[in-house]
Amino acid sequence: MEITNIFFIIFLSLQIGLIYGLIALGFNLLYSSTRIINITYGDFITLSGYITFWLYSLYNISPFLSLGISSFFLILFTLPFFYILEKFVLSSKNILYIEIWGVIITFGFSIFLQGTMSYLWSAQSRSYAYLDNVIDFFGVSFLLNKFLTTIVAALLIFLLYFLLFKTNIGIMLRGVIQDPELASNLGLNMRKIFLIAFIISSFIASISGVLLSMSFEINPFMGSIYLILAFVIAVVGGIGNPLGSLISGILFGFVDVIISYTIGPSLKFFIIYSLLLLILIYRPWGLMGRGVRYA
Amino acid sequence: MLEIRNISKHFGGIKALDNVTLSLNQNEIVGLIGPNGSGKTTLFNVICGLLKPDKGHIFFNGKEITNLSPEKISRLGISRTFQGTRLVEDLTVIENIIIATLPLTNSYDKAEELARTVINKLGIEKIGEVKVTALTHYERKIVELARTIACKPKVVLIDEIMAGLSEEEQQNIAEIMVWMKKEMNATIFWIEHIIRAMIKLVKVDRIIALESGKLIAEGKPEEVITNKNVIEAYLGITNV
Repeated sequence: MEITNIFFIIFLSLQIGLIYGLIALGFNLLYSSTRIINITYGDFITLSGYITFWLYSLYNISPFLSLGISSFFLILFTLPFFYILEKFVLSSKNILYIEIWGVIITFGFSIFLQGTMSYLWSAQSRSYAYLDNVIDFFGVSFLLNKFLTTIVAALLIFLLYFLLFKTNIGIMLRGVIQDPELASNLGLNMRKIFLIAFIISSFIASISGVLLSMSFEINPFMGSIYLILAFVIAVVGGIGNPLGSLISGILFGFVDVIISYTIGPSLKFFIIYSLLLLILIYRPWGLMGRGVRYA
Repeated sequence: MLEIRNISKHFGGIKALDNVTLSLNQNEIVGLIGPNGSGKTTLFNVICGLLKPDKGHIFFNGKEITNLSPEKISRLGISRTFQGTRLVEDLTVIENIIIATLPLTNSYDKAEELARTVINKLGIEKIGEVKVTALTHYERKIVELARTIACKPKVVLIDEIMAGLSEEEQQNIAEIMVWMKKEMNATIFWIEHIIRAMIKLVKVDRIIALESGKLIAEGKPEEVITNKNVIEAYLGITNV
């Protein structure tokens, strides 16, 4: 294999891996802080993709501007979504209750959103071409939009790192993720932290949707695939560990691209889920999660 | 200051607390003793809102707090340590204290300033930037105590802090507790099995004894430790 091909595969893996990492991080952050398994998460990504698609197709608004517009709308949509879940699910102290009813309610929302998107915009896949000219970077040819999405994903990861590790919101979130009972005992405003977790998660879903729409086709049901990927990557990285999600996402990016280039894309998901199975058997707390001892 | 009236708590068929009534006055240190399973930690969990009682009421400075959430109870000024220490393992020492001071200030800088004042006071500033997973058992206990102090509590619930510590370490912790009473004007309610530390090192004002969820003795330390019911509860016999 030529060196330029190797660079190309590394670049493509990083592009997909960073987006996978982002998607898993948003899912992981929300689950580990609130215990809500948000089935609607993938549909938020889809919705953001559609907002970007329509803004570009109808009004020629750049997807980079859509990063802000789509995030604004998704966060706006998150607020009533949060209040419903808070009222009927998060008010319980029982984690099992939160997990089960969280799944049931968000599953309902997911069906509603998929049905609405399918009704409004039909089930056909759509795509748009934006900055799809080829650029040369150290002798390797890339599509400019893929290059830019990689940079945006990397910048967002840096921003999230800063938020989680260098701000009071980050300290509170990490405290709640690790020991919600202790956090509550220390007087932290749990409702506020849950709301912040919902907003950050929706923001990440929104950015991911915009970036994915720049490189891949969108359809009303694609959210389910990204939801499953987010779940798998978050579990492999370690639930409750944001860094684990990122590293696991990059790992899955490499697995995805290398398998597609060598064996062929048809075996991609078989190998990805086999990897999950192995991790669940030998390291159920994930690559970077902390082992839990059960009494 | 803290009034506990007829509190009962059951876990299935087990009576963890059975009609417990007691009160704590401002600026006193009260020891809580009893054999394992007597309901001491359950009582702490009920006071700080982690468990809801089946029956009874709790009042703090005249205000009923029985069904308030742990965060609201903490904000009113009731803080606690946990049996076996409970810290946020991914955070450093200073971050573990900042997380407790943030609700008081809502500003990271002020919260950090407050946290640093506390770790300086307790002489643990050298380990401020260390991750808590790297701490010794004693250091973890001190950090947990520092976090409690940083909350500026009016009532502190301390759960078996002396367990597993050397005599010198117990002495240091005792000095901090006496300082909390004198300088912070705090009321301390303290579960401990090391009775010597309660009586000789900290010199508690009162001791309350529980057995099978019931209050069996209350009074001055020397009265309680010679009480027939207390000796029987600990040793199962009355004449040694």
